[in-house]
Amino acid sequence: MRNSRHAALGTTLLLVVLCTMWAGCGPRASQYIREDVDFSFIRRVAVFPFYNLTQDTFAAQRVQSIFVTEILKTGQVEVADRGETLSIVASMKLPPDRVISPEQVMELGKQLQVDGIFFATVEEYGTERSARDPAQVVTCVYQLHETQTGRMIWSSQTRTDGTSLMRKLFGGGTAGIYQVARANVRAALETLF
Amino acid sequence: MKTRGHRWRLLPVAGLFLATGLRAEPVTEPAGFSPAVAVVLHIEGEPVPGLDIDVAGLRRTTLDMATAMVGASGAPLADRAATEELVRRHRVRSGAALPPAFLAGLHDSLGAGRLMAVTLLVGNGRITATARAIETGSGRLASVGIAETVVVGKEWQHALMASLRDAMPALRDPLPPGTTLLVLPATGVGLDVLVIRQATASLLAAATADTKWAVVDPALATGAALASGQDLARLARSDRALLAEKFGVSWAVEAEVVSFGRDNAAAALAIPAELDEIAGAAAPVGDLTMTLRILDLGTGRIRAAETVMVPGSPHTGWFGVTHAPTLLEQMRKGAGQLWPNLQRLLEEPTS
Repeated sequence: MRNSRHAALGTTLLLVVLCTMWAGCGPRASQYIREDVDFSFIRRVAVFPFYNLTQDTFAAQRVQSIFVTEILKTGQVEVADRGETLSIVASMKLPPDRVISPEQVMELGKQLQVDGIFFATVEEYGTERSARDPAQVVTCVYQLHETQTGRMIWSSQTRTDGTSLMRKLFGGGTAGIYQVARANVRAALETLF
Repeated sequence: MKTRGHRWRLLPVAGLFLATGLRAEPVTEPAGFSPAVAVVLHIEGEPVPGLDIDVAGLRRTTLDMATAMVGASGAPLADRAATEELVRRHRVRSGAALPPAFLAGLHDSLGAGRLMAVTLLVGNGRITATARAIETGSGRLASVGIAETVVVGKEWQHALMASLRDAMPALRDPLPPGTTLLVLPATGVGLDVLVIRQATASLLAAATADTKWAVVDPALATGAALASGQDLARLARSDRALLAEKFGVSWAVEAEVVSFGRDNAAAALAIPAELDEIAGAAAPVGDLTMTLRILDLGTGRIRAAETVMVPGSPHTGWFGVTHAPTLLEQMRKGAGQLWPNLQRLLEEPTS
């Protein structure tokens, strides 16, 4: 009896330690969801070219590539092809580096025949050298606008880094930038789907 | 004179090649199928440091080698001068964009049932050869090969021949009917255009290995798009409709390669270690992802997507030997992993 109690206690402690280790690499996200919107009506979406505020020329395109795959994996929405989105963005002469107005969101949605449009800004992407151990860091702000009114219905700011207690204890350095970026996208989408 | 000199120098190389033999497969001749093969060559990239031949000479030499290899496989060759004339007439400036009228010309005027489209991707001390065997009647890819070699000093002829020999696909018999599969040329992020070409060829090599699919050569889609003023990277509704009608498909496969390495497209091609003293320090190749997306040409929505990540960092084996994968090795690995995964997704749209 006593042995079984000890075994249960040991298992619990092990689980707590493991959870703590994994929690070390958890992303930090803050999100906003508009309460008066029925998200089940958002069936078809488009992804506007992501904005890039980083020094890495291709950061936005890299994160966007992951984002499209991850959103398709959820199976919750249909995604318009990037080529068609770019074609219509170009034909509407929308500025690629500025936030577009609700009216433009509505017009874009009408032409793309989508219910919602995702926007995102990549704020941090790459190696953070300020810490003692350099780590890969990705910070993004994701938004979903509905095309019926052009208003924002979901937003998530997510910061993910490649360090974790597990890695610090057992070595291996920081996670790769791809894993960090994918974790960032997944963390953000988890607040929506 | 220079040209003649190069030809003479090539004789022993060609002799050695013919003596060692080719991967030749017996070619049967069913009714209505012309076994004649036309060979065309295109060169892309930049001069290799230390290569003592100009582009025109390299082109001539490579075409001689490629023609000899195809001939050695037992396939009859289409008239070379007439093929060149067709290339000029249809302004076929790149192997990545073939006007459909050019293929029709090969089929109807020259009676060539097959086209061997060879492209040399030259850059950063490497020569990568891609060779696509295309049925001129249908535009279907019979097989695709790709190989790369490092060019060092005056050994470039052997390097070139090795690369061509490894890339040259076997000339198969006319393929059995299969479900038409339109694979659009790969697009890339943070990668040199030559690497993106390698990605396309690697994916096609994986796709054509399975004869279940009748893979349309992406160069035909590019050629058709250019002819009608389309941009395959920005397919509008009307463009998709045109592709669907032209190739008789309702969906297409988009391929994307994204580099997660250094933020420098020009440095994305790793410098081989053998060329360190010529081209500077060896550049590490970063991780990259390959993504295939199934695009519904009717609605413009993506039906499914599959991504694989291929690590690019050097790894040390059990015996302490460190190996840094080349980009082509990464592409092959990625395509090899991705294609079987995509089969599952491809079943859905066709069912």
